[in-house]
Formats: sequence, structure tokens, C-alpha cells
Amino acid sequence: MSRVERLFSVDGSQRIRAGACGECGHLTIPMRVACPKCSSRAVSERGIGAAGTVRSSVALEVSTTDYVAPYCIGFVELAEGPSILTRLEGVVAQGDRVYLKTDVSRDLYWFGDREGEERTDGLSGRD
Amino acid sequence: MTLPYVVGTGMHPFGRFPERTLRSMCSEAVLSALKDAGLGVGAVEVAFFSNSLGGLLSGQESLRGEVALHDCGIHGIPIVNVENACASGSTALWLAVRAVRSGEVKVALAVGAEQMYVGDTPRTLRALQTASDTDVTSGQGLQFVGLYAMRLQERLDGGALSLHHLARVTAKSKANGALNPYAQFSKVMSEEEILGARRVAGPLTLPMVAAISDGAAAVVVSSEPGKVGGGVRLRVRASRLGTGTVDGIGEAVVRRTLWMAYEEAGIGPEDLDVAEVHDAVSPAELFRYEEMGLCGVGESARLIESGATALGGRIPVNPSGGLASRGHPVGATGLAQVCEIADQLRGSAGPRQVANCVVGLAQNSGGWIDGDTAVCCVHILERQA
Repeated sequence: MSRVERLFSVDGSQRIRAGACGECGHLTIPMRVACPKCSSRAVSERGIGAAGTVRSSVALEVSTTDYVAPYCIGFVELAEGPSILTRLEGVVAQGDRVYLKTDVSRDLYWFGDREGEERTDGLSGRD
Repeated sequence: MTLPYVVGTGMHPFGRFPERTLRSMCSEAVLSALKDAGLGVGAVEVAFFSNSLGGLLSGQESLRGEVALHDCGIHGIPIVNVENACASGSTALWLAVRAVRSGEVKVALAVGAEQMYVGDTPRTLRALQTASDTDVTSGQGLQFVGLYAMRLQERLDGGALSLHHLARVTAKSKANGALNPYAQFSKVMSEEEILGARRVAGPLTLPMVAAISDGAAAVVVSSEPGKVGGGVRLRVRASRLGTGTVDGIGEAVVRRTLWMAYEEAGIGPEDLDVAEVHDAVSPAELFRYEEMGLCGVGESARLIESGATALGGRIPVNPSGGLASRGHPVGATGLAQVCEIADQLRGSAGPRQVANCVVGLAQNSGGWIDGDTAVCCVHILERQA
């Protein structure tokens, strides 16, 4: 199973496959065998909405093996609580609504500002 | 419990040394430290070797310590390989302190070496990305400089800091680095030059960021105080290692570990004479002021403005130039901080000497997991007559 498939339901529902602790309610992304907060093994998978709000973001000006600069990363606060550190695509600022995008064939995910539209700015093609 | 002492330190300069090898830099640091301690290699009973990226960048896995130390004649004894992101070096020292404290050995060596410059910046950046939970960061283009930039931008947006403060602390770092013969960067820079330099991430410009760096540092720990520096004894008053939790946000583990170290040493921030802190980007030093209790929350701007943390001030911070100017060869950084503190306490820091130095602190952190810095290590040393 690819990393993207472990993290997300990619059957069109675009849900995040989080783990919900039956003891303390802590949510983890991705799901773990035990709860990192209370060590309970009563953890079950919960699909949570894969849209969120940009808490903070930054434009990086140095290229990596994966991306040609400039590109953006940031923290996206999901409606159900947890935050996720992710690459961001499009013109985004703090407080903006962003949506999960996945590319299973390249095992990539990111959040973008346009629901339902696929864009690939910043991808260097090197991986 | 045996009380350990730092009895010798040694460094290979930090910078870019493509003509050198990891093992040659390691040998230079180790033999310098042992010479400083007045000991031969045969005195070392256990060695802790710190390196973080050698496996990914050179392909040497599994036996990095044994391979690197073999060249300088350290073999036949227990050698432990230590890897703990940017806090690997201080973690090696944490282990050496415990080996001596336990009474099992009299002399332990902590050495860190790193060769990050491979002529391919994206490849080195990719290796650095692995100091995180790759289950959730792989493929996201994570750069640690971006995490710092976002945290600083929040302070800028909230008005607690201005670009001037980011430049001011960086200019201090550059001025101190220019006085350090082991530093990667020796150019004094004005605030205008710093702010006008190429932007790297958000508000951060190139001079604010620790560059890709090679180098090595070593510290000898002993149960005997030694006769270094005219009989000056450097006692390890505290040695604490902490990791992030699920509730930590930002760098919560840094504050927690610092205050555990104060408690172990039986001192408070007001007792410090000098400190070396983890500033992978120089403005991160401003966060450290508040975490260390040198000032209250939100008061770091006032502290840097006051000049208290500059050489000649009340509590000089990063007299070596810090990571951003001295350099940050990941596995060696934590030990280089302790080398600097030892020099300061002995009174052998030359033009960057802090006056009347008795108690010094070294804080080294690294990695990122679940929203918090992954690991932090703090040592407090005291000069005893």
C-alpha cells in the first residue's frame, strides 16, 4: 500500500484515515496501533474531512530534490481538530480554506485552494 | 554517584571541506581533545560517536563510529553509535556523562563529526528532511527553515518582533563568529546587509540561516577533574535529555528540558554567565531567551535591544557565533557548543572571552515530530577553583 493510500481514502471520498482513541478521544494522522497520548490499543479508524483552514504558511526559496523553488508549505487545521503539515498549492494565506489533492500514481498529496481542480505547480519531476 | 568533569575539548573547524573526509575531521577533533586533557588514546574506556547524515550522504551505515575512530587508534573498547537529529552530539555527551557517573569507567569520549557538503544542496536538504516523522512529512518538501519562518512570522504579525530584531540578533551572531577561528563564517554584517540578502523562507534571509557545513568536535569526560587550564575544574552540574510529546506545540520540549537542567544544577537563569543555544536560524535565539527564562514571554525584543546578550553584556548568548555563524554540521554541533562553554569557563576564548565566567549552559535540539521539536539536550558546566 502506498503512503497516500495509508493516509487517505482515495476512492473519491477524499477522507483522511485518522485513528481515534476509544479511551481518551485523541486523533492521530495516520492511524496507529496504539494511542500516542494514552497508550490505549482501543484505536479505530475514523475518516475525517480533508478540507481545512491554513493556520500558517511559508514560501520556500530553495529547491529540494522534490520541488523547484519557490513552493509553499504550511499547517492546515482540519475541522475535526488535528493539524497537518503539508505542501500548499495555489495562492493561499492564513485563514484560507484549502482542499486535499492526491496523486496516487506518484504517491503524493498536497492541499490546494481550488476544490476539485488538479494543479501541479512546483513539481520538479525528480523524486 | 560519581560527579563527572569535562577535562578536554577539541575541534576541527566548521565550514566546507570537500578535500577532507569524515574520519580525518573526526581524528583531528579527538586527538586535539585528548591532548587538551593530557591523555593518550589508551585512556579512553568508552566512546560515543555522533553522526546524523553520514549514512544517507556517504553510504557509510551501521559502523560509522567504529570506522571513523579506527583511524586515530581508538578501537578495542566499546564504541556506541549515536543518532538523534541535530541533537546527536549533545546526546553522545549525555551518554558519556552517564558512563562516568555510573562508576563503570573513568574516562569517556563523546565525539561528533558530519560531512554535509556533497556538492548537491537538494540531496543534503533531502537528508535533513528525514529528521522528522517521514510517515507524514515525506514528499511534502519540508525544510526546517520553513518551520522556523512560520513561527517567526506569527511573532512579526503579532507585533512582538520586527525585522529589525531578526537582523539585530543575526548581526550579533556574525560579529561573534568573526572572532571564532573555528567558525564557518567570519564576515561581520550590518543589519542592512542582512535584511537585503537573498530571501530563503518567509522573513528569513541567507545570513540568518545555518549553512550546509562540515566539521567535528570532541569532549573528554572523566571522573577525575584533570589539570586542564592551570588546574581549572569543569564540573558537569546538569545533563538532561528530553523528547517532544503529543501535547507539545512549537518547541515545548526545549523549555521543559532547560528547566529540568536548572533543577538538576540547583540554579536558575539568573546564575548563568554564558550560554550556547540552538539557533539553526539566528532569530531562533530570541525564542531561547524566553524558554531559558532570561526574559519573560514576549520580551525577547527588549532583551536583544538592551545588548545584554552580546559580548560585554549581562549574559552573552552564543559567543561562538551560534549555529548560524559558527556552522551546523549536525552531528558535531552539540559538542561544539560544549567546547565553547569550556573555553569560556577556562578563560581561553580569546577575543570573544566573557568576563568572570563561572557557569555556562549549552542547549541543543533537533528534529520535528507531531508538532513539537523531537529532542532537546541541555548541559550546564561550572568552573571550580
